[in-house]
Amino acid sequence: KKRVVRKAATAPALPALPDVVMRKVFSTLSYRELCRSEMTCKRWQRIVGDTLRKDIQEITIERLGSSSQIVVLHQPPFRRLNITCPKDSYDFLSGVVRRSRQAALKLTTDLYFLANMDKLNVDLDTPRLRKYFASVEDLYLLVVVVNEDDVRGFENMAETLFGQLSSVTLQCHVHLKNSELVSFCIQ
Amino acid sequence: FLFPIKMTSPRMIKLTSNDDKTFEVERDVIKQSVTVNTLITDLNMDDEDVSVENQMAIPLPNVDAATLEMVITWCKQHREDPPRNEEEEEKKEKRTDDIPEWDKTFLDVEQSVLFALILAANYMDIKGLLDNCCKTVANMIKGKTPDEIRKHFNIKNDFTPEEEEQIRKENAWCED
Repeated sequence: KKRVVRKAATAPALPALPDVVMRKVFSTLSYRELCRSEMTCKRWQRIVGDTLRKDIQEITIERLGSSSQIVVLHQPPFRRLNITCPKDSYDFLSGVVRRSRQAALKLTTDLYFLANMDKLNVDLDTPRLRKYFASVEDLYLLVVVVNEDDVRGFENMAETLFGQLSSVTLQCHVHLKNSELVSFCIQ
Repeated sequence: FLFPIKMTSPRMIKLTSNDDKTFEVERDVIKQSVTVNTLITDLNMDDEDVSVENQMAIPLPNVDAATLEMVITWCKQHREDPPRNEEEEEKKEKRTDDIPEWDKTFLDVEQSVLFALILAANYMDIKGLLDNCCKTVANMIKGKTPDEIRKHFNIKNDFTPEEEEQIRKENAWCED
């Protein structure tokens, strides 16, 4: 028995640190460092996922038309993740959704994002995860600049978006021109 | 009034490593290990007036002598630490640049030694030690690319080329 223990102590041992310890290590890393860590191997990817599930319950996704920069603000004490990114960051958003969609309870975003969910690469074949946001209960939806395409896209996506939505807050900017579309969204 | 003051040496506790070495350590020092402290309390070892020679040694089947010696050294150094409030720790912003200088030097050891210490701290439930060990490991991860991390910790990349391509695309943003 002694010999086994000594051998284990000299072998490169980090992959063998228990999950609970790795979660503790990961809980001190930033979102960016966690994304780098999850790329090393499947086990780390799974543990990073567990860590983030505990640390993110609320997601805000904001698109900044002019800025081309991705900004991530992760606040574990508040279990919040704030994201600002260009309109077409589909690869980046695929990662965000993959890491968060099993735990997020609250989502704040705009109509355009939801209307274009099918451009993301998200695995919807897992049982219990056939919706993009299976666990989201609260949706805060911004409808600012609304056009026909977004509304149609949203209509097409609606079935696959949420699993157990219980409350929706709509922030609409209504003009005479788009009042019909907005009322369609509300319905 | 004058109360008689009993001059007693501090109560000692015996610990045995998995390679059968026995260590004597002050009760007050080892109380930082929740596992050992709970055992002492549950076994009523505080009440008994047993000399250290006749006392039962607490076996630590997951810790070897070299590691246990380090654990005891750490506990002696930190015996005056204020008690931790785990709820507060949970709420605090997590940072890794606040490891005390003494601990930094103490933990500047070979990876295998550090990991043995982490396993011991986890098993013996010594939160302060485990915390600073984990921060030390976190600092090894910080600033490294996935490839550098794999090399540093000798991790095997077990993603299929397709999986790797997808995750690389998703995380391209963290390269800048």
